[in-house]
Amino acid sequence: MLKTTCAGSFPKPEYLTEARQASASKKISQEELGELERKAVREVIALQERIGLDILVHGEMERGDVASYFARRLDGFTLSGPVRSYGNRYYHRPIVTGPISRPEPIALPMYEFAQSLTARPVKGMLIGPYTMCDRSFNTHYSDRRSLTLAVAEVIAMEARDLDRAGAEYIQIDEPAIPARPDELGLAAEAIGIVTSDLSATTICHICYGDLKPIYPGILDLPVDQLDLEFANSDFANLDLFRDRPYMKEVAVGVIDSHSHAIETVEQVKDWILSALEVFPPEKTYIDPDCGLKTRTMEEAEAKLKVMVRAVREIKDEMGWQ
Amino acid sequence: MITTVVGNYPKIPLAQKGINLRQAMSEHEKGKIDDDRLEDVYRKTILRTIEDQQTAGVDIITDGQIRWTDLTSPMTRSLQNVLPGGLRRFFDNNSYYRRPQITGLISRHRDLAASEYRFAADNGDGPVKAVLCGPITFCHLSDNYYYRSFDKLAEAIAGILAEEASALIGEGCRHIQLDEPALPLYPRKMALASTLYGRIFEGIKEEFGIFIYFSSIKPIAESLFGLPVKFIGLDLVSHPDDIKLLRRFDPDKKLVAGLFDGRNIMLENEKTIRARLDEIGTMVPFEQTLLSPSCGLECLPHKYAVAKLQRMGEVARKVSTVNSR
Repeated sequence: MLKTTCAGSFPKPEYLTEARQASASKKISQEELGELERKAVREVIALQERIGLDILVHGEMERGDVASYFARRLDGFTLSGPVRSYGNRYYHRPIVTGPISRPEPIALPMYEFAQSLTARPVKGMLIGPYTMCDRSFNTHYSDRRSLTLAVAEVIAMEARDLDRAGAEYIQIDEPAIPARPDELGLAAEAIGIVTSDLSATTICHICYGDLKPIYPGILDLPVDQLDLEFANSDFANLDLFRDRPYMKEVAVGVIDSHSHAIETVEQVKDWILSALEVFPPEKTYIDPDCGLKTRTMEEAEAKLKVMVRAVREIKDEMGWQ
Repeated sequence: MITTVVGNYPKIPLAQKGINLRQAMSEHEKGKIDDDRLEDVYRKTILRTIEDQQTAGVDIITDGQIRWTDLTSPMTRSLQNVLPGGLRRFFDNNSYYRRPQITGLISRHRDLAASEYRFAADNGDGPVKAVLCGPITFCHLSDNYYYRSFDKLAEAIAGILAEEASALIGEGCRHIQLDEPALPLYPRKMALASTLYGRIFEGIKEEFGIFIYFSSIKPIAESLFGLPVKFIGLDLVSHPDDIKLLRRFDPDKKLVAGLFDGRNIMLENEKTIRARLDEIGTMVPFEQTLLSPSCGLECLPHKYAVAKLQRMGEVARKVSTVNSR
C-alpha cells in the first residue's frame, strides 16, 4: 500500500562529474571511471535505504542523458553535438546511421551490482523504443515505424536480461509518447515487444507532455504500471482519471523534480490524498515526477524525506502501517 | 532569391573551447561569475550567431533568440502577471518550455524584444527580423487563471504585442514576425486572429507577418491567406503536401518557404529544393518568395545548423542566377 520509489536518476556527486570529464579527455581509464560510478551507486542505494524508500533505483550514475547512453552502446548509432532540451540542459542527440543491433548487455551489469547492495527491490531502468526513435536523427531507416520497432527488438533483449536476473520491476522511460498522439498505437506496439513474456512488474514512465490527447489510450499500454508526473502541473492531470475505473497500478509524482523549492509535508499529503480519491491505495505508488539529476544532492535528499514522511503520516492516519 | 531564418539558433558550438554560454550560465548560477561576465558571453554568442548567418549569405537575419529559454520567455520575464509555470513539451519536439501562468491583468514593464533587436541591428550588416510569440500560440501555451476566456487573453496579449511592434519600429526594425505554430489547431479562431493581427500591426507599413511551423495548415487553409499580414511563412517540410494549398496564396503577400528541415540533420540537395521551388513557382510569383528553414534551427547541433544555412545560401544564389538569365 502506497509504496515509495524514485523515477530514475539522482544527482551526480562532484567527484563523479569530474571523473566523467576526465574520462572524456582520456585522463582516467574506463575502469577508474567505472569504480567511481559504482561508489556513487553504493551511496545512493544507502541514501534511499536511510530515507526509507521501498523500491530503489540505482540513480543512473553511469548515464548522462539516457538516450545517448544507450545509443553509445548500440551498433547503428553515433552521437551528434549537444542539442538543448530546456533551460541550460543539453544532450548529445543520437544519429541512426545503420541497422541497429546490441553487441552486449547494457543495463544488466549496473542493475546486478545495485541489487547486490540491498535486500529491497531495485528497478531495472530502460529507455523506451518510441522515445529512443523520437530523440534520434534518423538517417537510415525508411520511416519512424521501422526505426521504433528495430529499437524495440534490442530493448526487449535488455528487458529479458533484467527479468532473468530477477528484477521485480522493469521501467521503460517513454517521455516522448505524448508528443504525437497519432503514434500512440506505434508506441504501444513497441512497448509490447519489450514487455512480452516478462515476469517483472513493468512500468512506463511518461512526463511533461499533455496527457489529454492520449487519454484513455495510454491506459491500454502493455505495462502493469504507469509512472506519471503530477506535481509539475499542480495535479491538473488527475481529473482525466476520474472518468473511468483505473485498472493498472500507478506511480504518482508528488515531487517537482525541476524546482529548487522543497515541498512541505502538508502539500505532499494533500496531493497524495487527492490522488487517492481517484486511484485505489493498493495500486498506488508514490514517487517524484521524474529523475532528480537536475537537483543538488541536498535538495534531492530533502525532497525525498518530505515524500516518505508524508506517506508515513497518511498510512498512520489511515491505519495502513 | 531572398533568404531568411525563422528565429532561434543553437546557443553553443560543438567545440567546448572559446565562448561557451552553457558553461557561463552554469557558473553564473553557482555564483562563480558575475552578471557582467555572463552578459559578455551572451553578447559574444549573439555576435557569433549573426556572423554564422551573414557568412552563409542569409539576407534577413535574427539574433538567434540567444537570451530566450523558450518562445514565451520574453513574456514571462517582461510582463506583469505572467509567471513561468511547470515544464511542458514544446509541440512534438524534444524540447520543453515553462508554461506561462496568467495570474492577473497583463501589463508590459519592459520591452520584449526591442533591445535585443537594437543590439543585433547595431552589430549586423543587413536587415534584422524581430520575432515574437503570436497571440493565438501564446494562449495555447499558457494557463489562464485570470481572463474570462481564451479570446480575452488573446486580446490582452495582442495589446502588448502592439506596444512592442511600435517600440520595434521606433528602434528602426523593418521586419516583424509573429510565430504562430498553434494557429492551425484553432480553425475557429481565424476571425479572432485576423482582428488581432490587424490591431497589432495597425498603422505599420514595414514588413510584418506570421510563421507557422510543425502543424499542417490544412485546417485553416480557407482563411489563412486572407489574414491582414504582408508575409506568411510556412513549414513545408513537416507537411510537404501543404505546398499544394498554395494555389490559394494571395499574390499581394510574400511567401516565406520553409524548405530546409530545421529538425533533421540530413542536408537537402539542391535538385530537390529547386524542384520544390519550381512547384511553388507555379502558384506564387518567384519575386514574392523567400527561402528559409522550416523552423528555428535550435533543434540541430551547431555544425548542422551552419551547414543548413550554407546550403540554403548556395541554393538561393544559384536559383537567383538562373532566374535572372
